[in-house]
Amino acid sequence: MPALGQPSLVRRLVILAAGWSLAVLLVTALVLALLFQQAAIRGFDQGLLELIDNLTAGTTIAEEGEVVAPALTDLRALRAFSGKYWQIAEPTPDGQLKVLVRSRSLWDSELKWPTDIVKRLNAEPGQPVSYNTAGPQTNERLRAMATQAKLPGRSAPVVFMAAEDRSPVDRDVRSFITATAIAFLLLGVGMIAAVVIQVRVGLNPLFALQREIASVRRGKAERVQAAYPSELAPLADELNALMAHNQEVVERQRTHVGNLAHALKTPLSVMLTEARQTGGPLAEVVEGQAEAMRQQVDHHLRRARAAARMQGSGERTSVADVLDELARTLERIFQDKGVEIDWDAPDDLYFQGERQDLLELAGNAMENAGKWCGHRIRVRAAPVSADRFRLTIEDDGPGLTPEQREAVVRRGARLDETAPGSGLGLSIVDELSRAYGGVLRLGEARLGGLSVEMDLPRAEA
Amino acid sequence: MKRLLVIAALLAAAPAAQAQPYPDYGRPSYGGRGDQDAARAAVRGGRQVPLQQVIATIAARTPGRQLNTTQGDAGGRPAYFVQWQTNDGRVIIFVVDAQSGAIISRQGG
Repeated sequence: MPALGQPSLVRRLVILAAGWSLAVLLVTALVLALLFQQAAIRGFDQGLLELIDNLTAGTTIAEEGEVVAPALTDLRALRAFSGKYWQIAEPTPDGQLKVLVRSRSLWDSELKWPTDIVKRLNAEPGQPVSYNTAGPQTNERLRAMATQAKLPGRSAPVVFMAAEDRSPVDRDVRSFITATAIAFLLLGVGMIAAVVIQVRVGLNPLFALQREIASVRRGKAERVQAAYPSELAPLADELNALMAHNQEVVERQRTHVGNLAHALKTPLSVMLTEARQTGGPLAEVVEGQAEAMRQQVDHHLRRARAAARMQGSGERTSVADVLDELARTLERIFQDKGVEIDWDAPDDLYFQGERQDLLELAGNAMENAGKWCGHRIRVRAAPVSADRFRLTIEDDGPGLTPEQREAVVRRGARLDETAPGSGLGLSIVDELSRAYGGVLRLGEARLGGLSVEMDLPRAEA
Repeated sequence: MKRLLVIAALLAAAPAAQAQPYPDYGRPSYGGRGDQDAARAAVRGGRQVPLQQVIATIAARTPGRQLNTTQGDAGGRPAYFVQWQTNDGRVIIFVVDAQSGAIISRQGG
């Protein structure tokens, strides 16, 4: 997973999908809640309308225009403060109402009404007006309905009002909203989880590609080979093409370097040979300079080669194989001295680089040890981290003083002072290990002689 | 006013002991002895038009809805007294001849 703050495909996809789903869910939940509330209120209003119709149908006008309410049999409107109330009123000239008859349930109170009720009733004749109001009891919330009717035998209009405690409806709506919220929350969580899984699974090929490229870089594979979905296949092909191109460039460089080396070495050898045969001051100068040139050429060619290899797609070389081969070769070379070479390297330790380079690195150091040792050489290779290993070569020879060690390594940087055959091997090792980002350290061996240590890049097994 | 009283007397649902100005809608008729049984018998016997038809007739003339209906006599003939509420809230009582289904008179509005 990428660090926070870094743009992430997974995060972007998840946020997009989850955001969209949550928005849809939220809107759906709100719409559902609204619809439910409307349905509940409509049902509630139906009951109020029913009561008003009964009132309208049953109300009679006595002589003198007096309004006589029906003996409504709805028992709920009989109990005091029962939660169901009705009232008959008439509009007054000042736009308010005058109560004529009240249900028994109202007891000593009246149904309240909004101040603009008469205006609203006259705005749409025959249409009921709904409003919320407080009931006669403490904290009682009523939903009321009023209609205006003209009764036969009475010139002034009459207003019929009915109201009922709305808390059961509100309770229903609340519990519906709670249930919906919980259900949709669960749905949302489930959806987000599904989206996350989907995105992770969907992007798996991308992660696989990354892993494969990494293994190519570590030298475990030559090419990206797995079958990728059609969106990624072109990318994989391009990568392969790029790697092929890089390799080609490296090869060309190497050929070029080799050609240059060959082209220069022959004339230099000729110059050296001629100069040695000729003798004289000029010849000495030529010989010295030609030798310096040859070393310079060698030095730079090695560096170029190593650097080119460092950037190429990593090859890997088994350390144990190389050490084994070198040990056998060197034991033959120093046969008359009776040199014994003990070497030790894990089977799964690999050098990230070319076999040729490791041969040169270990070979030079071991050959040097072979030159100076009494008869024992110890070589050890051990991993120090995931991508480095340490190669140690010790001998039981005379060793070097700290000043000499200093000089040997410094000579690697100042080749023109180096006389052939005197520790040149180590300066080559120093150079090459530098090219591989390693460090050469000289020290005292436990065997008594010189110990040469270098840290080199390690490839994964 | 006099006319209203007459009609009110006619609207009396049952031959009540004391004359009521209006029928007592609120009181249900128990034991199936209400005016609805008489109405049903008469409609099935073909002596009266069904209430549905009467309502359709009124609705065609005056848009609104029926609140209640009682049965009684109008000038010695069986009649429907249909309580009707127009869409703008006026309450009208139509007196309809039960045999022909014709509107005889109206009160209110």
